[in-house]
Amino acid sequence: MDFFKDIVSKTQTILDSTGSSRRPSKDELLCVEFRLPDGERIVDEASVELVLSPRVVNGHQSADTSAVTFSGKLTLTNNFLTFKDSYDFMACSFVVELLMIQKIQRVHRSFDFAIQLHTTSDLELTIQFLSIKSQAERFGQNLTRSLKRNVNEVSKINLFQMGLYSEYLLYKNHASKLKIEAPPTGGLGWVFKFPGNAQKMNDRLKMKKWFDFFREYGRNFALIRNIPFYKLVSFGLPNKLRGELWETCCGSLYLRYINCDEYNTILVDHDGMKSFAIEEIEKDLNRSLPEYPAYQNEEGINRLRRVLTAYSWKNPEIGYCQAMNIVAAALLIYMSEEQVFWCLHVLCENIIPGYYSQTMYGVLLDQKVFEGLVRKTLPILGDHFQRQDIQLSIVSLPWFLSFFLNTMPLVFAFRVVDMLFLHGPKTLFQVGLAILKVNGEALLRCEDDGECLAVFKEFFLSLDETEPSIFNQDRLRTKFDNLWEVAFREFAVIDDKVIAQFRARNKNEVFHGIEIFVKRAAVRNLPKTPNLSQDQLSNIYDRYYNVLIADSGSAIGRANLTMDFASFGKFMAQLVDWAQLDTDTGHNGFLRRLFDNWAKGEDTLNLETLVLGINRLIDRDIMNSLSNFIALYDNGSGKIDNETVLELAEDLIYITSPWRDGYLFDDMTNKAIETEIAKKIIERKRILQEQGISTDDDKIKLPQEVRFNDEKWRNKQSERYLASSSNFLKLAFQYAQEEPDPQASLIDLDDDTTEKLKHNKALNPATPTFITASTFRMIILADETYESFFHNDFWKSFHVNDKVSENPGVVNNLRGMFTDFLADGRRVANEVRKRMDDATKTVASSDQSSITTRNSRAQTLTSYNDEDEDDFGNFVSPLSDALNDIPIGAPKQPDPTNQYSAARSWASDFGAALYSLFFGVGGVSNCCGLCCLAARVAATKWAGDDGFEGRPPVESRLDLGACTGVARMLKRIPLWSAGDWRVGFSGCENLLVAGEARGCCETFKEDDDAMALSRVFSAVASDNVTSLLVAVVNESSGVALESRLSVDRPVYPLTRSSSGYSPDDPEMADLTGLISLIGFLVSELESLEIDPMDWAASSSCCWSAACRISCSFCRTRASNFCSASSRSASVNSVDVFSSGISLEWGISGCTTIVCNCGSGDFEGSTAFLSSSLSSSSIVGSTTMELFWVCID
Amino acid sequence: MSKQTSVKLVLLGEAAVGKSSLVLRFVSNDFQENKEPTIGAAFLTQRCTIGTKTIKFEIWDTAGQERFANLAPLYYRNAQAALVVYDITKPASFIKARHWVKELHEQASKNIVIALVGNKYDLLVDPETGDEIEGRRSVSVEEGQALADEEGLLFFETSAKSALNVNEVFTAIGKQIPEEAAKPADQPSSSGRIDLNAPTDETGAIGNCAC
Repeated sequence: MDFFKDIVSKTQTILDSTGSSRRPSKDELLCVEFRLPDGERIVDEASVELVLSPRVVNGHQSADTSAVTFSGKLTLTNNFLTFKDSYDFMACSFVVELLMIQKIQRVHRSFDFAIQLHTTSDLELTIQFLSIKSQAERFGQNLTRSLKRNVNEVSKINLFQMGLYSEYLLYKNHASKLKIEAPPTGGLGWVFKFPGNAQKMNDRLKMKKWFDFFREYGRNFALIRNIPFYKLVSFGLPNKLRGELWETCCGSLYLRYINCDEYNTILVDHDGMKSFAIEEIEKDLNRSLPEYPAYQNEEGINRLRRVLTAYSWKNPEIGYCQAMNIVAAALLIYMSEEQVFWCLHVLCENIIPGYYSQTMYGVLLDQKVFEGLVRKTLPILGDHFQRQDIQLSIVSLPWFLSFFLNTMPLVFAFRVVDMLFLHGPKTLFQVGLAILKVNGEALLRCEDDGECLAVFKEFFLSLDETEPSIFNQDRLRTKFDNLWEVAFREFAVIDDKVIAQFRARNKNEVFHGIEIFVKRAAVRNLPKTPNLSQDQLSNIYDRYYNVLIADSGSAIGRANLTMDFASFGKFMAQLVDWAQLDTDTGHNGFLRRLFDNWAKGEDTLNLETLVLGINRLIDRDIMNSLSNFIALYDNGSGKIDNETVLELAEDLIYITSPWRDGYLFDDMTNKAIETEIAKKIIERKRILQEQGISTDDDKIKLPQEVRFNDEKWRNKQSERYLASSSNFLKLAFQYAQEEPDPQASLIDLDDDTTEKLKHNKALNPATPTFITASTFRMIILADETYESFFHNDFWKSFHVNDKVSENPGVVNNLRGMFTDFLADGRRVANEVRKRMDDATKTVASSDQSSITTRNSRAQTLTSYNDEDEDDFGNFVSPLSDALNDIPIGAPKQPDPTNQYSAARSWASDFGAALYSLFFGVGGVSNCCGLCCLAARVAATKWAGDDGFEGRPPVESRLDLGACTGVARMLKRIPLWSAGDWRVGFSGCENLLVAGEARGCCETFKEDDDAMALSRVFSAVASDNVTSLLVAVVNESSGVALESRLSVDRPVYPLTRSSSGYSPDDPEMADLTGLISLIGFLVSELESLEIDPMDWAASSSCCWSAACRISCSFCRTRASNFCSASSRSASVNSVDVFSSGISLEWGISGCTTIVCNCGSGDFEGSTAFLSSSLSSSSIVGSTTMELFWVCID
Repeated sequence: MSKQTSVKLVLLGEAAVGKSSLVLRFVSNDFQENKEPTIGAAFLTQRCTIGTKTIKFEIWDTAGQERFANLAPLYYRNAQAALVVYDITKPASFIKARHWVKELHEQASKNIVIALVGNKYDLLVDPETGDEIEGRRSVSVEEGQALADEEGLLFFETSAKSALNVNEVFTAIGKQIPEEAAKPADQPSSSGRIDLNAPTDETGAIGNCAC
């Protein structure tokens, strides 16, 4: 069923109509005014006086005896010459097709410029130019040029005219030279009789009148419209001329002439084709004016079928609308199929646009206009309708849609149609208002719509009954004549301008109504989505079209209303927290995967597939949610191969980024914060009790203003996410299964550690392995952060409840969130109360918790806060200070066992990653990607591992500025292709975190872990790519740190530097950590039997970076640097050069670093030197050099 | 004693399923082979006595073509009853009927009484024997009944041509209409609204059909 398509096209129509507020051009205005075919361009225009002289034709003196002059504007277009009286359009206007001009003569008069035109239809026009002579001359030249250009089409138009009854009428009465043998017939009326009694309608007299008019004022292609013309139309057109005059009035005559083959071509071209419109047409063919004899006959039905089908092809936007069958059937009585076809075209395009459209917006709008006009012109009636809740539009809609053809008896309805073709839609309003007016008294007695309908029904059936004339009580007239008088006299004020005003006023309301309905239908017809309510669907619907409309720019363009990937990206960015549109750092792999998966191979998504996709993804049941998530990756096989696991890991990192980056707090953090609040409050209660102040629970209120240490919470959360992401990858590879036919076992790196490294074989591309959906689920569920994420945060990250009007898709500012959070103090207070018991327990047990916390992170979160009193809450209360000073729990001591295992697992992860790298992944870019992944694994593991818990958290992570620095640095390395930037970026970013974390772990250089790391290095040492990795990573870290440290810092207290860590100066901690890292790595090399030369070249840059950092602050902190590094490395030699101080620093016989300090930094360098020398022994061999450039 | 209440009833359904014909049969006991399509809507009334009460049906017969669906809310506004009609030989019309039922349940008055009507039963029937001919039907009785059960509708298969079940549909609706919900016919419907909170006493309202 095409219902959905239909809805879409409806929407399109709305868009089209609302978008078309463009002001029409002068050319277009002219075309509308004179009903010229589209595309006529104004060639020239002039102010003229038109002189119509009394004519003597065949010895017949015309009724007027004196010449009449009209002053107005003459306009020349490509094919037409038009004139309109500038005072009153109705007074006189003409349209002459240039081909009709037989002769053009200049009237020789001395005082002005005048021409005389003779048409082939014996019309004579004298035109006197009012403009200055040169302009008049130019106009004349333009006119003659146009005439010459068109001259060879004269025979064509003559042939065409021979099909017109007006020409036949004149020829038959010897008033025309155009020879026509047989009377042209067109409409069914010629065969099946015209409706009504011709004699009663004075048909003959009317014919005579028109005959006279044609002779006097021209016809069809050259016709003067003046008062007599309008009067004649108003009296009702004679049967045989009706068809031709309709097309003359509405201008479809020109179209039929210009496009003379189109109708038949359409029929031939579409022969045998099927369409929805044709189905609808077929249903109604037998039900169109069934009383008229022709439609009880195949001939009539076939004509109707052809016209309606042809038009449905001509204008597929409209297709077919019920009521068109009635209109077409009625027109066919007087017109040929082709005439009706073009008449329908003009009707739908110009006269009543939008009436028959998919949404019928035109006719709906006009009902509103009509109601408005009733209230304005017939206020008593309007009030009555309002009071009685009578919906006038119910009654009037059929009038407008079928021009009274199915409400009034046909003979009367055709009179309306006559006027409609000549005067346009105002006719419908005028007649409609007149009907209300003449039935006013009866209508005032009506109490509901039904009674009104009955009044009208009776009225329409009695239209030919006589009653006293409204304007002259002595005369008897038919009700219809009275109605006619009222309509076109009394309501003559309702002109196009008034209607345009009312339309403009009601437009928005009507479109809005249609939009709502279309939306409701569309939303209702969406498939069942258990996870999305109707309101949420409606929000998605709004957002969907909002994005599409914005993307398609103007609504005029036939935008296909399906969503391509670009729009999908924007849509998701608005809807989902993690899908931010940042093209620099954006990782759209996941979005692409969603898109491809939902679109099922198509290029575009439609609303239905989109909604289904979202519905699957936001399943609240974590098991379903995970199954649906994994279904994105397994291609239906239930298995996810190595490569895809890597992508999956990337995607997980991507979708958790708002939490990892600290833009949002997840459920765990929120709970931790609440617990924290609870704890504080309990503590406060305790104090109050100790002071003898009793409290009750009602007094436990969340303070109005609480300062959070956002930074701290953010960092903790970041660490959790980083840990989880690396943990995920580790476990994914650990639990990966091999394909049934396993390859030879992997190289054993070390007998002792085979056990440890075995699981990493999964990373060997030579052994294809996979994980299953259930493995995936297991891994996620095993990880508390990810489990909680999928349980609580992932589906919440789809803001399906947000309306489009609300600020779309911007990740809520964290502070904003806090504000919201706290604004809802009551909620928090309740939470607090709920948690009070738990919190009490936590406080009680916090001393013992440190050892077991590895497996209970929630508790960890709570105990994290113990050391840092001002991280949370400055309660606005007299007691706040006292409260904040209360120590809660004792700081935990690091547990060596924990750190040991953490380090080990880190090492094995890093090893695994590098190992995979080592096993020949092909291209460089791929390598780089993997490098970074490996780096990330290492880094995140390092940063987030539980081994560090209990230590003071890293106070601040490197900010974005630093990361940008990294990116800039990376760009300088030519090996990296552009595509790797992003990946590399995030890899490095994480390594920086690692560096920071490392700073907290001075003791991390113990035997076994170090050994594991060494083995890793030994495995990769000869590989250049790896070296590159190390270099890149280190260098970029250096740059990042450098950029950060270049800001002036307070002088670091030297005395405290010996610890290598100070919570007071996080930057220092970072740096120290990095230096320790470097030192550590180098010291590890010592124990390896690697040719140090292998390391030299590749590593130099990394050392330089590290040293540069040191240098940048060496003036004040050199000694700190030195003492830090000396603990992990030994300085071998120092040389002093003339240009400054050069430090040759050998590390355990394998590496020497030469440090050049600028002379300007002599003091600091010396300090540095002395302190480093004091703590190191000098070893001679120099294998690696590094130039240390002083930045200061 | 006979109480007269008026019931606003709206007919909805795809084009050419026989909505107007059903009304014509009910109101005038007449049938026209080629009835002009309804443009917008038609309005007819018919009185019907059910047990002790007389019901005046104010029938809004709507246009079936899809694009007229925009206008439907005008007509089913305040309606107490609806006939959702489909053509048992046209499966698409049944889908459309499903949509209409949904629309009514979402948008129309809360306790609107809806009857699902599968029309054109005469097309299935052999004129000689009066038996149903195999294979003519596209929508089974079961499908119709299932939808009706699911959505809580009355269900009938009718023929406007042969008058089968036509009066029965309206009678059944009349019985279902809670008396309080129907507005008294002789009171001006100034508000045109129905008191949805009014207690309904259905058992008392149902009598025997004397239609």
